[in-house]
Amino acid sequence: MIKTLPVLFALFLFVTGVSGQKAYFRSIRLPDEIQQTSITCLYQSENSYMWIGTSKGLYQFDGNDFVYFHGNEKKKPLQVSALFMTPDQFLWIGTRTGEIYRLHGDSLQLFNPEEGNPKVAITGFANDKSGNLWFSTYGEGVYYYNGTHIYNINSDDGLTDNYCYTVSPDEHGRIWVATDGGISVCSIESGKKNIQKITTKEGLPDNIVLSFKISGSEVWVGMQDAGICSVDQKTFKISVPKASEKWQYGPVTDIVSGKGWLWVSSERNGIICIESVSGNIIEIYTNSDNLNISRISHLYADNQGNKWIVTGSQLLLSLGHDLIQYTEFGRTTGKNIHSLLINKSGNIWFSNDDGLFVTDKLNKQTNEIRLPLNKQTQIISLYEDDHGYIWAGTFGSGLFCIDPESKRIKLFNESNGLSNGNILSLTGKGNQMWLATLGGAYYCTVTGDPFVSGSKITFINYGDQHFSGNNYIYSVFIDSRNRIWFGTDGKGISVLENGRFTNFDKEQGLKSNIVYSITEDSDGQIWFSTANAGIYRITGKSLKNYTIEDGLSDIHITGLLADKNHHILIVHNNGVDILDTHTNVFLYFSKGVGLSEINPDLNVCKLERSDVAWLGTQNGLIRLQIPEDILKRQPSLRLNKISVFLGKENYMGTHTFSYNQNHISFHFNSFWFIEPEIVRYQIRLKGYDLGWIDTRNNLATYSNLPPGNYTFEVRTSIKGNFALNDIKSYTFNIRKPFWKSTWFILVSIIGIILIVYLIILMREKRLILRDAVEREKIMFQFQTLRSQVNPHFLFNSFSTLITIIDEDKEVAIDYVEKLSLFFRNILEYREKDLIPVEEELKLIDTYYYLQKQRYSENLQLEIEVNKKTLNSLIPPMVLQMLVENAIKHNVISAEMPLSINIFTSDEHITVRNNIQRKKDKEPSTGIGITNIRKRYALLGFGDIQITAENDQFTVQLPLIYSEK
Amino acid sequence: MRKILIVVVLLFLTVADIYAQQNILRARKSKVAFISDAPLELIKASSNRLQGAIDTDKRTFAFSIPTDSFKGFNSPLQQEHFYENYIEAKAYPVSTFEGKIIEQIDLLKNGIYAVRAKGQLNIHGEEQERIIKVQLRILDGVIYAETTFTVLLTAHNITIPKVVFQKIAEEIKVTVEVEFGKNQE
Repeated sequence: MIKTLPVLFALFLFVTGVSGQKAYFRSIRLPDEIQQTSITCLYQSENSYMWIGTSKGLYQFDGNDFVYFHGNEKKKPLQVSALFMTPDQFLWIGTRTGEIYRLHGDSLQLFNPEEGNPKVAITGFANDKSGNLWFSTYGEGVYYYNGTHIYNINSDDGLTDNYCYTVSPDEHGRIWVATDGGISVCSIESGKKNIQKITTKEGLPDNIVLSFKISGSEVWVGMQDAGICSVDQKTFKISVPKASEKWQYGPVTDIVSGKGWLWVSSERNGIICIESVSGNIIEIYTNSDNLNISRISHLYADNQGNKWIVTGSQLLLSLGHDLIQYTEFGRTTGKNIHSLLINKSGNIWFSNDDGLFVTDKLNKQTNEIRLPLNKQTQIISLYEDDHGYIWAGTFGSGLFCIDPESKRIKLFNESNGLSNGNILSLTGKGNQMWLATLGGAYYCTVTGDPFVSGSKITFINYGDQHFSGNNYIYSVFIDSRNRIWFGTDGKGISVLENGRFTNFDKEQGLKSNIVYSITEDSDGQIWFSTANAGIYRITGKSLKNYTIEDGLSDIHITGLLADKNHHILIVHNNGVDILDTHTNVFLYFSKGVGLSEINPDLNVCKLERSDVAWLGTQNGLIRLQIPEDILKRQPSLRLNKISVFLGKENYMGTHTFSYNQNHISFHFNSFWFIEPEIVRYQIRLKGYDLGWIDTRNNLATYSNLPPGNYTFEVRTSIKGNFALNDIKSYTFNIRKPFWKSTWFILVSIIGIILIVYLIILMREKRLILRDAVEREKIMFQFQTLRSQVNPHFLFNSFSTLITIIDEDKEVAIDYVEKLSLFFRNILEYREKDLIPVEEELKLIDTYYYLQKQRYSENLQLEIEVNKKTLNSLIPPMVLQMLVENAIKHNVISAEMPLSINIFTSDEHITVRNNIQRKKDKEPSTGIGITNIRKRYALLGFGDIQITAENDQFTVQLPLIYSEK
Repeated sequence: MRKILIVVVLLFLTVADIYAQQNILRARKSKVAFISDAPLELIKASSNRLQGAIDTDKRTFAFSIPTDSFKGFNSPLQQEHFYENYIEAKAYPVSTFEGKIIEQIDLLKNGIYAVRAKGQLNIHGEEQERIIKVQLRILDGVIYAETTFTVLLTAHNITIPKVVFQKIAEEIKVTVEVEFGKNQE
């Protein structure tokens, strides 16, 4: 043991000034159209959208984009003055002129009740317990709508005043109305209006009430001149907080609350932060940096713990009093802090390049504690013992003990047995202390009060033999079971338990052997951070590693803190991760909330109470409140729209898409207003994609999908572990094109078979028909031949010829020529199906000439043929056959001449003769007429008509016109 | 209640008469018509016996109409049913409406105004608060008022037997036209 010769100094305190604290505000860029317009109201609907009412219309905001909703058909902008969404998803929009609109989906309609709309501005909406919708007006009192009728409550009914500023439902479902004449608490009991008044008579400090904040069983009331007060919902007992006693900040436009604090927006003096229990003003936030936040018209709290602030035409977002920056501490700053301590009385001890400072919690006065050190020596560790003494470890110059009360300082160094003066970490319990130094760990016991003579302080060194040959200890930590943990540079983590050292390093599975920070969570598990392998949890002998894949945002971790609500705070270069050790869910805060450029120094983070963390950053010291339910703040995901070919129409609800709609886009959004830029998505199309695809885009498009069933899935995370977050999914089906569907193919096959069958059938029929025609033609030829070679005809012709030869040689020659011409024609025509009428008539001429020689004037043939019909067609030899028949069957004499007429109409050619039957009837073969009829039938050109009346035999034949 | 109302209305009118106050205008011509447009039957009737007055200062009003003054039914039988079964004219001889105009307009200034009259509507002995949209045309101290509103039968405790349910509409449309002036013409 080395005899202690404590060096005693007097404490030098130097007042450096008052510290300034400020909240962090993030400015939201508004669309150009409303940059010069005042925002008249803010509202968040249940589906997480923020609605921003302005005098130039209504905007919907999802964190990234603003969507504008215009008013009526004339596209006149809505002068929005109040917003509210009822459980049936109708957004009620009150306007400055009294009209009320309802927005459902994309359809905006004027609310047009039988009773008419108010004529003055709508100032607020609320739902009571019976589902009535209440709205307050500026000049006509309040109205309530029960779904069918609108009823009015104004000063005639006992309302405190007709000029109302807002309405709010309380815990009992009653409606609190803020008026120019005090508060009216209204309810409808079995159709009767029930109004209770709270006015100056009842003790209200000011009758002009502007705002309410329902908070538990109380209502915070914001007034015109008297600040705020709280009213008990049951007894209406009014309590005025200290903050309001000499209120000088102007009208209270809104009140929002956080854990233990209230934010009150004033029309003149920015935001007044009030401690809700004591009622004291903690801080007043006015103009900061380049933000003008003096005139606050609206303050609104959303469902993710964000506070929205409307000041002038600016829209700001903040975590409120949950995150406070301390940049200035009088002469020194909160930057580059090397060590930090919040002592039991709540004073902030910190050291920076300028030295060691302490800021008083109450008067916010910062004092410098000047230690007997040279300028270059820095304080790098701080610890408060049970006596309230502050122990400060230096980098190279030993250990100081400071008594803030008696203002004495003592230095311990080599002379006291502390052979290494580089104290990186300092902790203790009771009268024992542990020091982590660059020369191993030191166990320090203090006997008695170190400032009283006779006290004894001893240092026992645990050198490299205990740490596998390593001397650099970064941190030391005493857990709830009195085990001592040491984080080493290169040899992992060691624990001293019951006098025995146990080491965890690469052999136990550690990926990094450099351990910087150690903490213990509320369940007694040890957590430590490594240089580049994330953090570890020790349960018994097993290690669990958390890295980027598990949701960690950064692996360059400088500090770890554990609160009493099973949260681990992981402090790294770019912000803070908060891990819920029960659910493994991470939350990430970074520059969006004012957390960035965390100090590179190790372990410059401390807990003030169980739920308040202090961090050193390049922007100063940051005080971060961690509400119990902070991990419930997660980005809420919404699948908004499904579009086809990126069109306007929304296909949500359509689950079957046809082949020509095969270009489908899913529009989704994750609501994380405070830092929308750190939101990530993972998408997957089940049935198409093999795994999750990471994206920052809130649109996913799929085109040319093969027909089939798919499920689109999307999930979101603010960096990191998606696996724990909800999945939004949408199942749909792409139909096959109709020509690929089974029924179409089947029908087609059957159709083709049918057509082929029909063609075959028709061909068969035609062949049979052709055969019949052919056969008939042959028969006809045979018949004609037989008839023309009728021996009678020949015999008669020859005897005629004999007579002529004698009389006139010339005529005889002519006769023979005609006869031969006739036979040649017959031979020629018999091959044909049809010949022109003209040719047939020529044949008749020849035949008539031949017969004329025999019967002379007794046979008369008259042909009257319309020229048009000369080109029409008839089967060959039919006219000749009819003429021949007439000659054959009738008497031809001088007394009874036979006259044959051939004439035409447009459609027909007719052969007519007078009937004078021969007595000795030449046997009729009957073939002639039948043959003609058959030929016509086969050719398919209509019927021939035969009549025998008035001694006239008539045969009418259809004329055939070739279709040219 | 009913009797009190009648008394109130009459008193209001008499008081108005006695003092011949400047600010009281009385109904001098009126037409009240109603239509019940049920699936099976259309019932129409009208009356011109509406009495009432407006206080142009306070913007208050009171009206009363004898329930048995409605004429012009389709048939005497229909009229009988109306009087005896539904409106029960013997038990409830008058219907009244009294209240105040919500809009703060000057009822002596010429012009056309759309206002809302908030008041107690008493039909069939059953009082209901209503807001009724009225078109006012004011010309040289004469007010012409026109309105159409609906009366829900159930709200006034008028029950319809199931048998004739198809013949009487649940909502009756009422049209009122009144001319108010200082003197009787």
